[in-house]
Amino acid sequence: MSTLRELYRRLDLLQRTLPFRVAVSVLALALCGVVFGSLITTSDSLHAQRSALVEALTGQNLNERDDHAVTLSESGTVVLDGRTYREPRLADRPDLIFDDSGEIALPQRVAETLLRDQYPDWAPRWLLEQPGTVWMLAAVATMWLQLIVWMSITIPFLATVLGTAAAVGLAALTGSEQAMWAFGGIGLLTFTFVLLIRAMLILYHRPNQILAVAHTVLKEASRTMIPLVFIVLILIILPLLPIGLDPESPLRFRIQTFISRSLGFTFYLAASMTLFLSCATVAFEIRDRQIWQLMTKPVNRFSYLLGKWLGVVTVNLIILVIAAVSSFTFIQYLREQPVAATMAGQEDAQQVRDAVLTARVGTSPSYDTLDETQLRARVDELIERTPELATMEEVPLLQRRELRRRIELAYAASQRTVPPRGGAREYVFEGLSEARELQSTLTLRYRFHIMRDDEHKTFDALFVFNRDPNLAVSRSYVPTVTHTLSIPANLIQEDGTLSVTVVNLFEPPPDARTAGGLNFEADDFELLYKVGSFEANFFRAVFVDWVKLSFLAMLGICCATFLNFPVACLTSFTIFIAGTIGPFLADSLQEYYPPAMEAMDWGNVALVIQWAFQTVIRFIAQGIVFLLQSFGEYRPTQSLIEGRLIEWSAVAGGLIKVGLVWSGLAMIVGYLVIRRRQLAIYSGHG
Amino acid sequence: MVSPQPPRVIVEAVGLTKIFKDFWMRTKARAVDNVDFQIYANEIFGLLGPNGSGKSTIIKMILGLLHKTRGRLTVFGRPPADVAVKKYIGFLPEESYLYRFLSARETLEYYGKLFGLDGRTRRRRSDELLEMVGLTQVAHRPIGEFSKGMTRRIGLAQALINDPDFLILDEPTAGLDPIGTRQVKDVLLELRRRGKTILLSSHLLADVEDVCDRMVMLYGGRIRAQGTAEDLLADTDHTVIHTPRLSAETISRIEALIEAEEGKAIERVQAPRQRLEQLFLDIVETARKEQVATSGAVHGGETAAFLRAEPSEGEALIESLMDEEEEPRPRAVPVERAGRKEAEAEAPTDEVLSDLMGEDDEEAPSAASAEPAAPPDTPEDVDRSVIDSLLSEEDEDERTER
Repeated sequence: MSTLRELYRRLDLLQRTLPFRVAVSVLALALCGVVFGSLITTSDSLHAQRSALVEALTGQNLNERDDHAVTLSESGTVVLDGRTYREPRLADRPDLIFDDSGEIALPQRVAETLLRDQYPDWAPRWLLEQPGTVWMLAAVATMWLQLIVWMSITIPFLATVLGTAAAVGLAALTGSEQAMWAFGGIGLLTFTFVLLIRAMLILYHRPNQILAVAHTVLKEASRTMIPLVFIVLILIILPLLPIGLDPESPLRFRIQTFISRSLGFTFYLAASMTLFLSCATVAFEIRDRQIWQLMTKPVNRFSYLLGKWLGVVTVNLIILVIAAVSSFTFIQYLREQPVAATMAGQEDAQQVRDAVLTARVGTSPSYDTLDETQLRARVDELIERTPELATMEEVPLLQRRELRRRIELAYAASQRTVPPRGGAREYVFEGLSEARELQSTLTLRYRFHIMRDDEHKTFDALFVFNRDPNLAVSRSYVPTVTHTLSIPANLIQEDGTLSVTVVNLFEPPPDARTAGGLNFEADDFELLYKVGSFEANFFRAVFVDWVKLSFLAMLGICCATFLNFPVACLTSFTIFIAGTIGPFLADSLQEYYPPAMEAMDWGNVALVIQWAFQTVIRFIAQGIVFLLQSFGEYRPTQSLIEGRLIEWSAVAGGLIKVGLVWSGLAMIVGYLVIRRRQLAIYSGHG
Repeated sequence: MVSPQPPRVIVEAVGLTKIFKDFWMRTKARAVDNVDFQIYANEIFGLLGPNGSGKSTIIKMILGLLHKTRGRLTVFGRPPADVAVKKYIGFLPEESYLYRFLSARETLEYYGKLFGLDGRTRRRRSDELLEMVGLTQVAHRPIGEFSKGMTRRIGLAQALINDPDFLILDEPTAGLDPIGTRQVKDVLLELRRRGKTILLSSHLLADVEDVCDRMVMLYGGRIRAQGTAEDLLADTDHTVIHTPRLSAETISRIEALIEAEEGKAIERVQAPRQRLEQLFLDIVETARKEQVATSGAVHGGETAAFLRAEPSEGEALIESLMDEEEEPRPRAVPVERAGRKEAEAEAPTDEVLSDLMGEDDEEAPSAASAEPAAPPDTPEDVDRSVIDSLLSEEDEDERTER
């Protein structure tokens, strides 16, 4: 092992020398010249022949006995500029070549067919068909190789290429095509990571204190065990993710599963890496006293923290770029995959286009609400109907508030309930002018509850649009399962509204214990329409993830300024998890109330203890929700999966709130601590 | 008559006290107790004392790594926490706390960047320093693979990367072999020649004795004695005459002469042995000439060229730094006198010195003089440092894992 390490060290030194760089650079240029020179020549030649053939064939008419039309119909040949192009099968199918007037119908296709024999076997046909792509590929490859040589990563590059080739070769021997792709992907991602790290190291190689600290964090991330474990996991698992996709499942589910796994997995692993690295880079530095030597240099402690943060954030950026590019590439590959040639397959393709790989906004119908007078009247009525309240001289304010809340909830729920046996309720969606202008197909998303939510049964509902009986669609649904219904944009009224009347067709049996009303939660009935592209949405999702990771980086650094490594990790992970579940916690809190003080039996010790416990729990949970709910509300991966637009305003809001304010606050806390902290603890040795 | 220019004060401590407290704010240790001293420009100042005497604590306060509890402490006329003064300071801690994942060259590059050195200067200084400390061959090896002696060498190199005007060395020869020790001393003397100021803390007495102009001796966080090496160590009761080997008859005649002239007898006549340091250096030199392979540090080169260059911009910058001091500096308490008073009041100097030196039966040296003395000549006898080094724990194979 030490011999290998020594060999690598010597080779590493060698690759940094000027003669080596010049020699390998020239070699790379020559290699690119040979490979791409042949490709470009062949591609250009084919392109020229294709153009000449198309020009020669255009307007050729068999009825008028034009030369090329005649030879084509007789022997499937065309002679042009002394070269003979032949495809005998063309002569057998004149009906496909000539239109009714005898003219060659599709000269482009005919030219392609005639050129088929001209394509060499050693290059992919799709590449040769696009000379522009060949040129671009040549430029990229040449530049890439030159970067590798001049950034002194020739040896890691060669090592990665050899390692990958060996792994792919082994996979080829076993006949596993998926494994071949996976190993190739791992090699490619690993080398991309090395390339990006080196590029950032070069970028940060300046006599600037913040950049110098960040530079060292980058080296720490790529050379020490804790961050490397996570980085290697990401680089290995990402290319393996496609293997887990079920090829039999509908394409939209495959794409959604892949987005969820790739981005979700990358985010959570990167978040773990971020917290460990940011805690380690400060806590270990204090523990192992490297900070003594650092702080006796002219380094401002603020610059020190900023440098550490910049380093961790840069590692995150590199990881996210790798994950995003690889995921995006694979998603593009997936979207081109064929779907079943059935109705379901066509619907699947449409769903991929309109509901997954898109950026939609959702709108809910407007519901009626009770005004103040109505509310007060209903509260009074309820008090009168409740014996224990009716006998009270005056109902306490807190209790009145609770009654009011319950009435509001019940009224809202009644708005979302449709009675059985043909009962109907109309819902009006407003503000759809943009969708009308864009003529983007609307998607009605609904998730209904009925009876006891038996998922093994289906129920029927009728959707009537704009109160027009001719615009009605009947649908079967499974309770608790989300369904969608596509609606053409031309149904939107001129004023930007769309009325949807839901008719509950369920006929409950006479002995049914429940009424059989159809109902749904507020966010389970909405209209979605496309307003942007998936590509831009994907970019915004990755950016939001990066902003969240940036906050985590500063959180870890802040914790490590006053806590040792394990405690700093524990604290920052707790905050991260609390932030992630913040929205769920907020929902739960709506139902979690300790008994009102007025209703408490203070003589019952057990009840008092329970009340105190619940009060404390609620207090803590409220604090967490207040501080961290926003962190969990930014869920870009979920938005991508659902094809929902991540608005720029939300991105900017997240950037300001999480990226600047929260990170800034964490930084200020960390700075105040480290500014006052005595970094040299009492050693007991004088 | 023109009065001589007073020596410029680089570090001034007046009533400096450091008390460590526990969580409940109870006093855990009084590491430094009401200490007064001044370090002047262009001198090598020694902090001497046994373990736990407060040497490192004073150094850490000078560096701003610890806050003083009471008293006044200035560095270049400014508070130690002031980042601006650190540009002129080089620091070698008692152990080299370096990043294990960086190579020796990367380490020097890193610290060079923190000082804002441009790429060319960084490379030149790194090359010279690596050559000086004998680590050129292993410049690209991670420091995690280094022995303790090698990390000490790279630690010294990083302390010098900014060509500091004020160098603070905490146990600089700990972990070094005699060659490294000799080299460190040479560097110190070279730096003093260039007008640099050095604070040296050590419990290896020979290190301090060989190179220091002035020194303070600490015990229990308090100064017990201070002064120049000459004054503190002078033995005015004896005379030593070095001659080539004499016969017994000649010695008898000399003794008779001394008795006749002075009325005294020769106390001891001895044939000197070759010094252990010389023997060690000869062996290493022979091995080096035979080109015996070594995986560790090789014999270091001469002091880095940039450290041998004449003083340049640093002086002017420090002058400007010190001129910016807004608050008029209070007159320093006459440190030597205060120290002596304290010593007289609390413990007799001779007893403490005997305690420190472990020479119970010998007389204590005389008290220190008040003024900083001229630097002593380059010492010729450094045999005790060799013995100290050889006796110190050798831990070439020590590895610490994160």
